[in-house]
Formats: sequence, structure tokens, C-alpha cells
Amino acid sequence: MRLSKGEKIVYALLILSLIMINPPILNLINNYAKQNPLTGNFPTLWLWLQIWYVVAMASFLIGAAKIKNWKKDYRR
Amino acid sequence: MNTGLIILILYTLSLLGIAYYASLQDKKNIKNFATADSSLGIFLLTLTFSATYHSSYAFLGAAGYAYKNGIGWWVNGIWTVFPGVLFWILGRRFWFLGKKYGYISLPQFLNDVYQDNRIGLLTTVITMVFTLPYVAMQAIGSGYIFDVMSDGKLSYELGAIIFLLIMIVLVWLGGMKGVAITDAAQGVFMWIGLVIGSYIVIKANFPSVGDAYTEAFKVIPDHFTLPGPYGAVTYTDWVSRWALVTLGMMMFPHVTLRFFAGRDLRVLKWSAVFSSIYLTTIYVFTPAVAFIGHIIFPNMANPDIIFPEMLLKLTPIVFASLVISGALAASMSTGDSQLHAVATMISTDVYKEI
Repeated sequence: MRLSKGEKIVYALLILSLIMINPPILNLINNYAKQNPLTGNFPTLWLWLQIWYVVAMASFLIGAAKIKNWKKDYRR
Repeated sequence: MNTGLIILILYTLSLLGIAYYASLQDKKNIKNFATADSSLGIFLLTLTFSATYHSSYAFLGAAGYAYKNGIGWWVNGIWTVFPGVLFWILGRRFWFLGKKYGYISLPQFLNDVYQDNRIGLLTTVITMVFTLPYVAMQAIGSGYIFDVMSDGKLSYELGAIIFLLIMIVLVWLGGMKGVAITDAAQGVFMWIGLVIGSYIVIKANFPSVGDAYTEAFKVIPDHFTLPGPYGAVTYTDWVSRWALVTLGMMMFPHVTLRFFAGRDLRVLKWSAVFSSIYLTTIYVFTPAVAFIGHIIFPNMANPDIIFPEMLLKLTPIVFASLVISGALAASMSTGDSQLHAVATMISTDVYKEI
């Protein structure tokens, strides 16, 4: 099945979110957090994870609202 | 009679009332019992999926793990965000096959794919074997909650037995519809209990959440990075834990049954999205609660009880009891769904096949 442009963007953002919260990116952020444990009074590592969780949820939400393929019902 | 016990009794009676109401609409056939005739809407499916997936762990284990091992606990976020995506990718296919071929369980699908009923039976046995200890875990969590809320008047053992009896009555009375409606009520209770309860515990001690983290950092700096104070959250542990939970949860029978219960694909899609949001937001204050727990109750022997302990010590008893009822909701909403799934498997995949 061919993916629409919107679908490709949503899947890319979901995959990117997963990459950003896992090694080896996670190792880099963790090393940064060791030097700067708090950012704006919140744990740096928690903030980083939270940002990417929000990106993943937002792209899923937008995908659900906009992607036409996701609106199609299967033929019975 | 103490306040906690009164709230506990009222809470249990309301659940039984909801299940009785659902039983009045029951059509007394297996498809209705197992999947509510695929009639659940977005609100019910979102909350029954979410409340079923996250158990007493939400109140007891989560804060306990963060208390002990630090911010690495928030790998948990991966298994709250991404199961919604899997729910949409896999769930809609199961839903479609359920509509087309009348499946109401995963083993029925496997029987047809492999043209051998023994495969389905084997799947049933394996999933049942691994579901029953999970039910026992909910009973353990509930037993503890009964004990705490009744101020020791109901022992842990009696609490666990009462939990199992209530679960059996809920499942027997209402089937999937009853379980879904009680799950929805419990899901609302669980969200309010965790989010509002955590916020009030933090505000009772610090001017803001940021101040709570700043103070905690002075006491437990190792908790703010990986691998945590005991070196537990290594990168290997991180990846293996989220992969196991996120993918493994799709094999839980009480989760897969819900794929067949949605009214249409629109319901499945939005339930998948909203369950991701619901499950991720309930933990927004959990690390802050766990960290300030170190300041207020250092060296706890059993960190799993840090959240209820703080509620009972730092907030009015009526409020604490109501929030801890949310913990009971978390246990019960998972426990009843598991018993319902086991009952469905025994009826459709064992009894009917033999």
C-alpha cells in the first residue's frame, strides 16, 4: 500500500521520537544532564524525554485527524 | 467505623451497582459477554483499554521505582505513548478480522491461520498461565490497599479475598460491557487520584513542582541521571524494558479482547490516540512525588508504598482515602479485565473446542 505524504511525515516523526529517547542519543543527553542536571528547575533528562513523548503524541493525534487512509473503513 | 473503610464500602457498592446496571442490558450470549457485541464507543474503549493496561503499578510500583532508581523510571513513558500506536496498527486489523470472520479471541484467529486447533489451544494455555500470576499481583496490591484504608481492620489476606470475590461478581454480572463501564468509572477515578493527588502532595510541602525538584536535587543528585543511585537503569535495561512491555502487552488476552470490542474503526482510532494521552498524563507528577518522598521519608523499607504513605500523612484523611480508592480502581480495573479474559478463553477456546 502506498503511503501518503502526511502518513510518511507522521511515521517519520514517530520513529524520530523513538530514536531521540534511546541510545546512542540518550547517552549524549544523559552526559549533558550530568553536567546540567536541572533545566528551569526541572530534571534535564525528564524534560528531554517529555518533549519527545509530546512530539510522538502530537503527531499521532494530527495523523488521526488528517490522514485519509486512516479514515477508510475496510470493505466487509 | 473509620473514614477509609466507609469510603471503601461505598466505592465497592457503586462498582457492583454499575455492573448490575450493565447486566440488565446483557443479551446472555458469548459474543456479548466477550466483546459486548462490538458496541463500545470512544469513551468506554479508551478508558477500559487504559485502565486495564495500567494496574496497581500506577499507584504503588511507579513511584516506588522512581524513589529507588531515579529518573530512569521514565522509560515508562515509551510504554504509555507507543502502545496506542500499536493499538491502531494491530488493533484495527484484528477488529476487521473479527467483523469478517466472527473472531472474538486471538486463538480463534490462529486456529484458522494454521488450520490446526491445537495451536489455538496451546496459545490459550500459555496466555492463561501467564495471566493468572498477573491477577494475583492485583490481589496483592488490593489486599495492601484494603489493609491501609481500613486501618488494619481488614487484613491483607482478607482484602485479597474480598478483591477476588468482587472481581468474580463484576465479571459474572456484566461481561465485557459491565467490565468496560466499571473500568471507565475507575479510569476517571484513577486519573483524578494520581494527578490531583500527586499535585496536592507536592504543594503541601513546596511552593511549586520546580522547587520540589530543586530541593530534591540537593539530597539525591544521583537520581537525576542514568543509571541512577544503584546503577540499575543501564542503557541495556532501558531498551529491553520498553521493548518487552510495549510489544509484550499486545499479547495480553485482556488487551487483545478489547481490539474486538470497538463499534467501528473511528472508535478504534481515537481510542488508540486518547489512550496514549491518558496513560502518559497520569504520570506527569510521579517523579516529583517520588523524589520529595526522599526528603520527607528517607530510607523507606518498602518504597512501593511511598505515594499512599505521603497521602495519609500529608493530606486530610477523607481526601487521602478517596485518592487511595483510585489505587484500588487501578487494581480492580486490571483484575476484572484479566478474569474476564480468562473466562472468555475458557469458554470459547477450551470448552467450545473440546
